[in-house]
Amino acid sequence: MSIQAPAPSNKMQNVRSQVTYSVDVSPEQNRYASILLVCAWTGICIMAITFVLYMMGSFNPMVEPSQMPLYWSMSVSQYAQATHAPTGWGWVKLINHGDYLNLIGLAFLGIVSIIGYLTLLIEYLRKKDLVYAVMVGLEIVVIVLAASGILHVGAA
Amino acid sequence: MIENFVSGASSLFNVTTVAMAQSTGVNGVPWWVWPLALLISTFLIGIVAALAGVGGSVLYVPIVSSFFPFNFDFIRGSGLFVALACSLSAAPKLLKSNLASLRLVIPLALLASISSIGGAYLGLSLPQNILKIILGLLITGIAMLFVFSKNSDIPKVGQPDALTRYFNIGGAYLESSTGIDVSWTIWRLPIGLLLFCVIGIIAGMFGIGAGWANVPVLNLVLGAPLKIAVGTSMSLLAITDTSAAWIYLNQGAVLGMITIPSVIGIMVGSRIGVKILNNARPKSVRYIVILMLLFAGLKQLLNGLGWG
Repeated sequence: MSIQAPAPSNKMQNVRSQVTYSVDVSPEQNRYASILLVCAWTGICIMAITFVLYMMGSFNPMVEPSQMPLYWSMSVSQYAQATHAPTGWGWVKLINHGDYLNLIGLAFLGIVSIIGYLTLLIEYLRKKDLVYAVMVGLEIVVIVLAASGILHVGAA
Repeated sequence: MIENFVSGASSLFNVTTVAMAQSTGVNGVPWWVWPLALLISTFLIGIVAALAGVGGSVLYVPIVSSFFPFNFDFIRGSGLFVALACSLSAAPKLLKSNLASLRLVIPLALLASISSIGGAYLGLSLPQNILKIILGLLITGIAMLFVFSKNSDIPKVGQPDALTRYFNIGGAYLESSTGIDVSWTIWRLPIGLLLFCVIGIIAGMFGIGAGWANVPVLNLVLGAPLKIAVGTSMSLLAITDTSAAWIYLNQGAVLGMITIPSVIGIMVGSRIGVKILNNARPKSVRYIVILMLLFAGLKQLLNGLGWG
């Protein structure tokens, strides 16, 4: 596809003057990107290491890797019943077992965005960009609420 | 080169499939065949997804649920982590190159992540046959979308709406092919916000990253240039999928044995895919993806109807 230059009307040119166009990356976007980069690869390394430990049968797994084929075709509620798997943050108490140790890296990936958003919140508050500060604050609340395990559902 | 690669990849995929087929229902088959097959399959999915420019999880969920013995609950939980990991590894470069805009990501991600939580609950509450029927129809629809949608490199944008002006959404990026700076803004943001609510529900419900829907909405509805739409979509997924991924993790629907080889396989595969992209013919790879999606979608549909 060929690249076409936008053809704004005069009216649009006037409106567009209210939007800032800059080829430079904003400092908060740059910092957010750096945090994602470092944290994502840290999480993936943790995941890889804990997975190798689990596959080797280290840390006395609650369900041995060799036993998993008996369970992985069950629904999540059947699996929880059969293996006494905890819900919510109950797995944290079991991280001395290889299979639950695995979840540390995955949970870390789940908090990377919160870490990034906290830096954005500070930056938007500092710049007095209240609309974006509120949206970022709400997003943090939403992710924390989802992560808290407060919300429950009866699996089908 | 791409023909050799595709033929090599399909041979490897066949070997894996045969190994899987042989191990089904056969006593004494080593348990590690499955995670190993998953690692190899997701590695191939990662390569194909990168070459075709689609998110890995849109292929991952239907393919893995069609060929592996894992329960659909665990596959959807893994799918969200696959999408999350791919997004987290790709987004930083796009954000740093100004090919993604945080000012556009933040409002869209807020609504999409709230609705993705609702979608995750719906997904974990509905009977699996119903979910498979809907997913089958959805995947078939996505394949059709790939056939018929015509994204625009730099769409013509009318007058930006009041919300866009209020949020000051716009920017500029260096177009490497021409060496000129391209300035952009968007319009019809309120419609986009509504559509992202729907996209969030679908992403949470089926564990598929929503890049297939984000990009057309950003590009064709909001009028963002294609490069901005792709970069912003990738950055959005890091937020949207996080909320839904936590719901699945808290429900116990994430198994390390399934999720970790999938994440590693897809990430390594997509990195290799990006490296061979220069020598690839994107159109031929795109046709392969469309065929894979059609096959997986119809298989899901038949499975959900109890005919497969």
